[in-house]
This record gives sequence, structure tokens and C-alpha cells, in this order.
Amino acid sequence: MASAPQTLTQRRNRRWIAVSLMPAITIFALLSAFPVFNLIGLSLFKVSWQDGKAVYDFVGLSNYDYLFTKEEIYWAGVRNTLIFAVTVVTFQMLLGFTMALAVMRAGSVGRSLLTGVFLLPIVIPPIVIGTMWRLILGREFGLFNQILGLVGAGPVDWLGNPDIALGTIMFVDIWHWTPFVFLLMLAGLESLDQEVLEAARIDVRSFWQELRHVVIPMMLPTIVITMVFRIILSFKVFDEVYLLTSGGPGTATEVVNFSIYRVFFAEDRVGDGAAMSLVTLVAVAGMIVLANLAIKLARRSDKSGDAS
Amino acid sequence: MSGNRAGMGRVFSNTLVWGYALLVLGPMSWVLSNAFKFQIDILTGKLFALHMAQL
Repeated sequence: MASAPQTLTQRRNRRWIAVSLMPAITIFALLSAFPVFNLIGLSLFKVSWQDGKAVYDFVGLSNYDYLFTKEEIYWAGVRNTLIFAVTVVTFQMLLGFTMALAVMRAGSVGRSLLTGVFLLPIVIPPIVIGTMWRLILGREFGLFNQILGLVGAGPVDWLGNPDIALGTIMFVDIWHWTPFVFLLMLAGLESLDQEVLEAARIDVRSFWQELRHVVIPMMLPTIVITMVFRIILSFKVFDEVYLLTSGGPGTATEVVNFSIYRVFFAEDRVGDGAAMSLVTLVAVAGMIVLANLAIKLARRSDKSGDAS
Repeated sequence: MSGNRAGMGRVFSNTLVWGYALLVLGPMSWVLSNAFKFQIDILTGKLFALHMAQL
């Protein structure tokens, strides 16, 4: 269908919109672009401190060379971050969706009460969550070890044992962020066309059929967007690691953000830290592009579902 | 039959959500109750010191 020719007023309006948006776009572009260009510049230098001043020695791409050939902690962090992201997002999506479905079946009083309770973990500041779980998981006085003591099991070093420390951090993250998934899923389920769901309940034989053939296809855009949100946020995990284990024991709970923090602020290797940040930035940007593609595909499948 | 299944489903979902609510509230209640303080006082000798002071 050919678009109708624009009138003079429409053209003026468009020009006015472009001009009025220009200052905001310029400021936004500068604020976003400046740190990135600064990071690119820093990654090409070795920065040392002499007499209270920064001394910049141009080293070319040797920071990247070091990162890809000799830096081990960062790559341990990348491996742990990938394991962390895949595991926590899977559990959070399954738990959040299940809880939203279960809460939908509860009465209105139960629903509002449960929603309030489930939202508590995301309104508590991360520093409080970290301190709370440090107390609960403590080897000597922790709640978990007290419960294990009641059944005669020995104390477990939840945060000090390298075999289980990452799993423990994942558990805390799942506890912390499942309510976020629950909230989005509940909003998605409440916005579904109730008449279609009622009709589906008459047509299908079981709850699983209703879920598989009606609810999940209708919820697909919400599921995809929530999953993308959670994947991006789980790659940014820092507070739980910092507060519970500080990346230890060894590199058992090292994650990308913590490696960058340590290299920048504890080891004063500004150039190496900048190179790490840029590599991470490119990887996360690539994931965002893929995520956008996934959202577009989900929306397209939703539209084609509506049309058919 | 289907009513029985729906009833079982409701019981299952109720158990699930209230169990999860307990998982959310349990750790918070434990920390807020200060239950860990008594044992820390024993380990740090604070209770012993108080006892000795009373003597």
C-alpha cells in the first residue's frame, strides 16, 4: 500500500519533532559514547602512578594480547558467568512461571497476599540480602547448618567449599530474582484474553494440554522478553559474589564483573581492566542484538498467530 | 472425575505457593529474630564475661 503524500503541516511537524529531540539525543549520545571511547583509549595504555599523577605508556594491543593469552582469572570468570547465567535463568523462568500459574488459581485475597510476600526479595536492598544470606549460610551459626545439625548431619561450608560455593551463590540469586520473573509472568497471565482461556478449558482434556497448546503460545512474547531481561541482568551479577565469597575460594565463584572490579580497583591495572571491560561490552552488546532478534521473532510469531 | 482432578490441582498449587512463601519469609524471619546472636555471644565469650561479672 503506497503511503499518502505528506502535507506541509505534517512535514513541519516532523521537522519540529526532529529539532526538539536533537539536544536530548546529542547529550545521550555523548554520555554513552564518551565512556566507551575513554575505555578504548585506556585499553591501549599501561597506566602507572608516579608522584600522585597518572603516567600513560602507549602499549598498543598488548593489553588484549595479555588478556587472550595469559590472563586466567578473567576466563575462569567468563566460564563461571556462563554457567551461572544459564542455570539461574532456567530455574528462575521455570519457578517464576509455575508460581504465577499457581497464584492465578488462588482466590483474590490469597493472590494479593502471596504477590506481596513474593515481591519482598526484590524490594530489599542487595546489601541486606547479601548480609542476610551470609548469616544464614555461615558455617558456625548459620540456619542451614543448624537444621542439618538437627538431623545429625555435619556442618557444610556452603561458601568456603569450592565444589558448592558457586551453587550456593546461584541459589541466593534464584531466591532473590525469581519474584521479578513471577511478577512479569503474573502480569502477562492476567492480561491474557480470559474468554480464550475459558474456551480452551472446555476444549482440552487436561491442564497440561491447556498449558502447552494455549497458555504458553499466548505467553511467548512475555516469556522471551522476561528471559532476555534476566539473561542480561545475570551477566551483570556482582553484589552477591562480592558480599558472599569475593570470588573465592580460589576462582570458584569468580565472575566477569568481579574480575574487572578487582583488576581496576584492587590491582590498579587500569589498561588491562579497560581491555577486559571492552571485550565484555562487545560480548554483551552481541547478546543484546541476538535478544532483539529473538523478541522480533516472538512478536512476528504472535502476530501470525493472531492473524490465523 | 474431572472435579477430583481439579481439586487435586488446587491442593497442589496451594501447597506450592505457600511452600514458596515460607521459603521467602523463613530466612527473613530467622535473621530478624536475631537467633544467631546467642551463639555468636557464646563463641566470642560475651556470655561468659557477663557471667563472670555477675559473680
